Amino acid sequence: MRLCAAACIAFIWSGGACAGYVPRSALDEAVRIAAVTAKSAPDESTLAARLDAARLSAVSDPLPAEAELQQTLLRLREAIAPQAATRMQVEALTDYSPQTYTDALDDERARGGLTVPAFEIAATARGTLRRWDKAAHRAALVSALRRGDLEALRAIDDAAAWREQIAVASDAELLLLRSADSADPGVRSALALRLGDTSLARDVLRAPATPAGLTLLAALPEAFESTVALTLLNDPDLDSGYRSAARLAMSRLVWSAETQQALLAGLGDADGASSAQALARDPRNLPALRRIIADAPDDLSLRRALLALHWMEDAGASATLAAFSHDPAQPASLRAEVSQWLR
Amino acid sequence: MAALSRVTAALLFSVTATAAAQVLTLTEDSYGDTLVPLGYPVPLPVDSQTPVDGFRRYAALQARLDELALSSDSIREQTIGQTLAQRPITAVQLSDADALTAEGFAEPAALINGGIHAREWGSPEVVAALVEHYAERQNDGGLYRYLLDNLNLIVIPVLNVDGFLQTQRYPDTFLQTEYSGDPTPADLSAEPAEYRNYPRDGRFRRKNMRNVDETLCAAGSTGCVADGMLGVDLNRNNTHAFASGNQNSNASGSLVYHGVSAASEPEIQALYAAGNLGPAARLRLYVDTHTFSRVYYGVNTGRTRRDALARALAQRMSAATGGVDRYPYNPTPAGQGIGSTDERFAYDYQIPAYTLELEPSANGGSDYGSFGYHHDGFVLPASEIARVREEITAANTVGLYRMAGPPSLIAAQVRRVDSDLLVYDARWMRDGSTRALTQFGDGNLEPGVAYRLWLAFNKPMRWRDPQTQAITQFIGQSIDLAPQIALTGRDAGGAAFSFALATTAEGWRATPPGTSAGCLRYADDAYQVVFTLPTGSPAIEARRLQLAVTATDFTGQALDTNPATVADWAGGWANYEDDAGRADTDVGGSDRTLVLVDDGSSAAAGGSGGGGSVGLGSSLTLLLAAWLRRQRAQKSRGKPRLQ
Ligand SMILES: [Zn+2]
Repeated sequence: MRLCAAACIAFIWSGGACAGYVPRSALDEAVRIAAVTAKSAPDESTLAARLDAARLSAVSDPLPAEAELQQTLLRLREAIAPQAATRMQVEALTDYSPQTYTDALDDERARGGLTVPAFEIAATARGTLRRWDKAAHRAALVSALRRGDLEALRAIDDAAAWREQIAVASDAELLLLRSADSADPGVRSALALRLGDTSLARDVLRAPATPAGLTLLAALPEAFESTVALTLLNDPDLDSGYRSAARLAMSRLVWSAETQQALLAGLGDADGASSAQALARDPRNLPALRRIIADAPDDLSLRRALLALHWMEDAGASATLAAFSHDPAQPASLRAEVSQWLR
Repeated sequence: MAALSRVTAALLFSVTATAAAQVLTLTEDSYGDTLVPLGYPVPLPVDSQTPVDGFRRYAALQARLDELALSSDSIREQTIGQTLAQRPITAVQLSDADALTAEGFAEPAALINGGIHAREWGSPEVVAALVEHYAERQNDGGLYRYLLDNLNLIVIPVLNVDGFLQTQRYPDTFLQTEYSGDPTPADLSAEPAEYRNYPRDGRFRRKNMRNVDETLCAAGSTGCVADGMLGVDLNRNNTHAFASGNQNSNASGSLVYHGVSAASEPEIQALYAAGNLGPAARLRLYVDTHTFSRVYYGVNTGRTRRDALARALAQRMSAATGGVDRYPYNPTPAGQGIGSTDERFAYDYQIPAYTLELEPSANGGSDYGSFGYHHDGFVLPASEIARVREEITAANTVGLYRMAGPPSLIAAQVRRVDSDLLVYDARWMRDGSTRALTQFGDGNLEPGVAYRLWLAFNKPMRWRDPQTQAITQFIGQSIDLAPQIALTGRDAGGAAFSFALATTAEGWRATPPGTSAGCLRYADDAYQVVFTLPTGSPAIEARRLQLAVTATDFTGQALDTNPATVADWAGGWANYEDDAGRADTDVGGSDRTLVLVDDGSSAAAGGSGGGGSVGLGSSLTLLLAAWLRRQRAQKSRGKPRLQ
C-alpha cells in the first residue's frame, strides 16, 4: 500500500497539509492545463519528448509535471504504431513512484490519514503499453492466419488478443486457431463457443475451475442445442467447482422431461440444493417435486424438494408446504422449518 | 493519432468536458468513447450456490444460506426486515439453540454484516464465506463447535438487497456524471465538489434504492427518469452522529446523502433488529464489511480500555490476514463521527466495532496491475476473491474467538499413572452467575511415582494444523504453545518453593471428552503432563502445595486469575482479574486457585494469588461425602483432606 509517510499522516490529522498532498481544486486546475497542453501537441515525437521533460521536472515541481505525464500518456495511448523511442519513454514510467497525493478515494474518506496518489502514472503507462502490445499481437495473429502458419500462431502468447481475434475470425481461421491448441481456458472457451465444439467445451469444464470456464458454462444454454448442452452440464466428470453453476444453468435449457429427470436425480447429492433451485425456476416441475415429498426417497432429497417449493414463489408450492407443515407424519424439525418459511 | 477520448479525460478529473451524464461500460482492455478499460476481465455475477472464483448472483447466494440453515440445527435464518422494494432482509444466526455457554452462563453475541454499499461485491462473498466456513466445521468437536455453543453470532451477508440487485442487473455498465458538464439539479448544489464526477448507478451504485427505479439511463436520454443520483447512503443513516461531520450531505443526490432522519431506512432498522437478536446487551463485537482500501476503520469512544482493546483486537485480526499492518487500524478520534454503523455500535454498546474495508489497498485495482480507473477498487478481479474470503474468515475467527471471552482454568485432576488412582480433583462449577470451586484429594505426592496432571479450560486453547493435526500457531498469531505449570508452596519446614513441570505443546488433548485423558468439552481445551517428584523434593509432605498455571488462548489472552467471578464485557473486560487481583487491567495472569494441600495461608505461596481467597461452594460438603465414599472404595492409601 502506497501511503503518505507517517509524519505526513499525523500532519493531516492535525488539519494541515504536508509535502506531496494537494487539495482537489489545485489538482483540477493542473489537470485542465495539462489536458490543453497535451491536446495541442502536433505529433507523437513532441508528446514523447514532453514525457521525458515532465519526468525530470517532477523532481522539483511534481504537481504540474505529474498532471502532464498523465495527460500525455493518455494522448500517446491512441498511437497506432509507436516509435521505439516513444515506447522506451513509456516503459520508463511503468515503475514511476508518485509524489503527489490527494485524500483517499475510498468510500469512507472522512476517516483521515490514508492518502492515494493523485495520478496513476505507472498504471496508465502499463495500460498504454498493453494497448500497443495487444494491437501488435492482433496484427501478428492476422498475419499468421493469413499465412496459415501454426508455429507463428503458437508463438503469440496473448490470450486477450486471441479472444478478440476469435470473435471476428472466419470459420477457416477458427479451425486454424483451434489447431494451435492453446492451453488458455479463456481461449479454449471462446473457441468452443464460436465453433460449437462440444469436446473442447467438455475438456474445459473437466479441468480445474477458472473464471473463464464459468463464463463458458453460463453461455452453454444459449450456445448449444438443449440436448447437447444438457449432456455437457450433466457430465459426471465435471470439475467440482462447476457443479452448482452447471445445475443452475440447466434451468435455462428448454424445459424437457430429460432435464427435469437429471435435476431430480441430483436432488440428494452434494449439489442437490442447486438442483432444487433450478427446478424451482419452472412451475412445470411442481408435480414432480410433490411426488418426491410424498415418496421421500431419502432425507436429503426430501429437504431439497421442500427447498425447491420454498424458492418457487408459486401459490401451489406454498399450499404443498403448508400441507407438509401440518402433516403429523412428517418429521417435527422439518415441519418447524417449513412453518418458519411460511410466516 | 486519434483525438484524445473525451471520456478518459473526464475520468481523470478533467473540467474541460461539457457532456451530460452518461452510461459507460467496463471492459477488460477495449477502448472507446464510452468504454472504461480495467486491465483485467470484468467480473459478472455467477449463478452458483457454492463459492467460485467470482461473485455469486444474489439469488444463488441467498439459496446457499437457505440450504445451510436447513441442514444444520446450529444455523438459522431470521428475517430482520424488508427493503423498500419489499424484499426480505435475512440474517443468519450461528449458534446452538440455548442462549447459554456450555458452562451455563449468559452467552455473548457478535454481529457481522456485509453489503451495505451495493457496489462492494467482495463484501457479501466474504461474509457469506464465514457462514460456509462454520457450516463445514460445525461438527469439528473443537473451535467451531465451541463458537457455536458459546457465542451467538449473527451474520448479514447482504443488507442493501435492492441496491446489490441493481449492481448485478448492470454488472458492467454504470452511470457516471461529470464535473462541469452536468446540469446540476438544485438539490445537488450542497454536495461536496469532489463527489460530483463519481460514478453513481448501475455497477457503481453505493446507496439504497430510495426513489430510484431499476432502469439505468443517463439524464436527458429519451424516456429516462433522472433518478440515478438518488438513494440514501446507509452508512450515514445511523443514530450516532447523524448528519454530523464533513462527509455527509443533506442533498438527496449526494453519494453520501444521510437520509431524512437517523435510521430512516429499512435496511438500517433491520441491522439494529439483527443486533437485538444478540440480544444487543450481549454484543461484544461488530464488523461492517466494505471495500476498499484494506483497513480496519474504527472508533475511539473515549473509554480508554475499550479503545485499547479495540486496537489490539484489530491488530490480531489483521495478523490473521497475513500481517499486523496488512489491514492497519485507523480509528476516528473520540467525539467525531459521520453517522456510520461502527460508530453506532461502538458508542451504544462500548464494544469493538469496525468498518472493515477489504482489499485492494487505497491504490485500487493497480494492486493487480490495472490501468488505473479511479473506482476500479470496487471491481475486485474474480481471480482474487477466493483468497480474500479465506483471509478475512481467519480474521473474523480470531475476532470471534477472542471476544468469546478470556480463558479460565476450570478443572484439574492428578492421577497416579500406575493405578490411575485419582489423588486430586478440582472443578469450578457454575453457581448462579459465578463459579464455585470444589476440590478434594490427597496432597501427599510420593517421590519416584509418576503422576498425570490434567488441566481443563473453558475454551479450546490451541489450533491444530488441519493437515498434520500438529499443534501450531493460528494464522498470524504468536504465542507460547506449551503452558507453564509449576507446583509451588511451602515445604515441610515452611520454606517457599516452586517446582516447574516440563511441558511441551504435545500435551494438549484433542481426543474426545469421556475418553482417557481426553478434552473436557472441545478439542484442545485440556492439557496433560506426566511428572515425577524426585526424592527430597520440597513438594513431598509440603505444608502447602498448589498449582501455578500460565497459559494463553491461541490469540494470546492470558488466564482469568479468578475464575469465581466470570469474565464478561462491560466496555472492557469485567471480572477478568490479573496477577494482582485487579479486574480493570484487561491483561489476566496466572491461575493459582487450585490448592492440593492447604495450610490455611490463603495466598501464602506463589505471590498474591488473585483467586486465593475464593470461598468453596455450599454443595461442597455433599460432593466431599460422595468423594470420600468413592475413595474408600478405591482403597485410597492416604487420608483425604478437604482443601
Ligand atoms: Zn462501503
